[in-house]
Amino acid sequence: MPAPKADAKATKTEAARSKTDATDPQKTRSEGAATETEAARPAAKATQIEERRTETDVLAVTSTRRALAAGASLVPGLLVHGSGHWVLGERDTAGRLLLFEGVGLGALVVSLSGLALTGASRYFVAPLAAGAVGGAGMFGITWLADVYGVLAPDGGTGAPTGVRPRLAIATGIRVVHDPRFPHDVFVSHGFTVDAGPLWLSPTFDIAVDAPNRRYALDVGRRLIGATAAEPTGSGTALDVVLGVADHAYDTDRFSLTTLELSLAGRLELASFARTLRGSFAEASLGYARHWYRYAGLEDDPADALLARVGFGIYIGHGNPLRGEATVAYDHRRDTLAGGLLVPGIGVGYLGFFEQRTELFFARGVGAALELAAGSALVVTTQLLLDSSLFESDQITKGGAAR
Amino acid sequence: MNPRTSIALFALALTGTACLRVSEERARRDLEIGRAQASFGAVAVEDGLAAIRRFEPGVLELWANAPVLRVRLTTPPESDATWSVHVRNVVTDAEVFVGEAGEEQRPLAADAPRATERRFDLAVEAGGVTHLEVRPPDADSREPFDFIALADVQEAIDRVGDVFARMNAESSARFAMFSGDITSRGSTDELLRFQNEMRALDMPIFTTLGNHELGEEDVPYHSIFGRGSQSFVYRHVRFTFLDSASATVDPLVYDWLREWIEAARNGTHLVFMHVPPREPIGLRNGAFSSRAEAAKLLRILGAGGVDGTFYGHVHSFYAFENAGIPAYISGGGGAIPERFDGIGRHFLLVRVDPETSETNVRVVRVD
Repeated sequence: MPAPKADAKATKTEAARSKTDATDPQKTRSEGAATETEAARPAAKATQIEERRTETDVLAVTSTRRALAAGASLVPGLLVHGSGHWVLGERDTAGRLLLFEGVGLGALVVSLSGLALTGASRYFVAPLAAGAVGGAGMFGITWLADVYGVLAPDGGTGAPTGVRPRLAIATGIRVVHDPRFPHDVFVSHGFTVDAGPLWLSPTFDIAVDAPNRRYALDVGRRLIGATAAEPTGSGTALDVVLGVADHAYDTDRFSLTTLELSLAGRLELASFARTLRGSFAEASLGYARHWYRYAGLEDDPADALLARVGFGIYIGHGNPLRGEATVAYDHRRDTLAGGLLVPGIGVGYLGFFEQRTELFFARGVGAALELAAGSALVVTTQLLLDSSLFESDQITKGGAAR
Repeated sequence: MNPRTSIALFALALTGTACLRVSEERARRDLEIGRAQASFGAVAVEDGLAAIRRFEPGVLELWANAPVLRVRLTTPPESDATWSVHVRNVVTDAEVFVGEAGEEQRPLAADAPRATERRFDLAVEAGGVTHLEVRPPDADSREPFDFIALADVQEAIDRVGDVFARMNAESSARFAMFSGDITSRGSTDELLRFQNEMRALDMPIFTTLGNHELGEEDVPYHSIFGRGSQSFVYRHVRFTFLDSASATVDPLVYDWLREWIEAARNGTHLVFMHVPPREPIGLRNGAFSSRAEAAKLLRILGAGGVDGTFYGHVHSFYAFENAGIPAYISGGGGAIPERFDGIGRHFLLVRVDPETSETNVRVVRVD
């Protein structure tokens, strides 16, 4: 098949850049004028170009330099995001990370200032709190992206599957340590059915050592991104999600019922820089209505701001290992994890941190480990199964994941 | 990053950031309040309702955190026969009695350097136990009475005199219940400054602590003001403070709460704490860190027949219900106010009827 025009043009640009790079060691891995062109192309074609660059680039970035870059991503990188990429010679990416760090910090400062100036007024608190979470999230993501970009192997730690399985099952155990409640161990089951742009995901968690159980149903519509029927080769996605849940704490004779609506998205960071290939950012924003239902007493309604930000990496390129790991902050306080208990003055306003790792070590068979820290610690281990287990190689070549 | 590395890093993060019982140490300190022991004697305030500010041979100084105090002083043989006792933060008409509660007591003459202080000499039997009670004459009345509820002075300490002057104008109020955030950071200097400002008051303030009392690593609040979680009875109404300064209540305190609720099962019970379990503006969540814990606490209060809940933390005024209990947030002590709420500095004047358990709450504006 003849190469498309865009490809040929890119090859030319690449050749020109290689020439420039050869005379300027500082620019060996820098992104020149071709970056924007690359970003605009489908991921698969960009991969071909990157493969051609890899040989010279890897030779040029010495292990010493990479080690220095890793150190710089911590100090001063913790404060000046992009420092690692700057030392690595990826000046454009460094600048972009610094810019987005600034945007995040700006949003955080403006939001916190707004909260202080308005005394967290009931009329402004929702957008200001969302701005603070978003700003802090962007700050965290740009730092993690800097660290990832200097440490990840060329081509990234992994690749997205770019297709959702028609059926994905997660079944396992949650171990909860919450000194305020008697439950410790839950069995946890759930599955997700993808039916084109629409999907639904029922889950339940039932404690084995106390009368405590939670049922939930999420129904979503994929607005952007891969579905079972339409693979995209990319992990970038946007969903609108409607959820309903009921969590009964029979020992303490109350339950929490929730109805919620949110917009949740994932963005592959390869579109920002090739060093970030294999990483992604996640964010969601929404609203929940809770009903505290007490046995024998009047119910209490309550609102909740839903906001979540995360950074993740893909693990493996398939055949056989593939998966992903995510670290996220979730602003909600109605889950088993609750919200963080912080010593000192700043109490009550935080949600919880979560880390989830999913690994598929055979086609359609994998495992997940999830750790959440709020007012309780929750460790979840799950067996993952998906419908690719029963499909042919041709269909499942891209794998299956969210 | 492989999964093993992820786990190790996350475990490290957990160690650094997550503590599941942030108020446990404070709850355990509560148990030590009102108790002191030395070679020259031992003192115990019943239910820890006063902070021992000074305990030296022949000298005892208490900061009362309830209108009725019962004190037991034990002295070794050949110790001082007379002790100089100074009790601060008492109801203005408080009287002093010697003798055990429920038995024959004799009144003791006491000086009143200020309306809210009593100073007297106490003759003790060396090598024996001396019982002392400080109480207002109406401690057992069943008539309706007034008290003030307020919270959140914080950095507005320079202007707190305005609030106190307005409180003095409410002469029917027997005392004030302060739901935390006395100071900005809870330092010893700030706490003592607040007590100095209180000299302008014609009534005692009984307190719990708020999150702004947690700014120092070794929280000095307890040794100056007393317990964070405690319960006392005045005129057949039970008043309970819970330490919710960390947006949670320690499991130890839940055990105490159940006892206090049981003790007030057939009477009137009002509960005060700083951070509300839930607040009307859920999107803000100036409330507990865990919504499940909030529901658990509210269910205990509701099922326990609590008649009113009073909170601070949110610098405005809200009247609502939680678990069917009338609830009030009043954070109008002067800290940065919630804007556009039309409230400003204020406190609540609460009338409670011990016979009917009815409470009548009126907002009193300071500005």
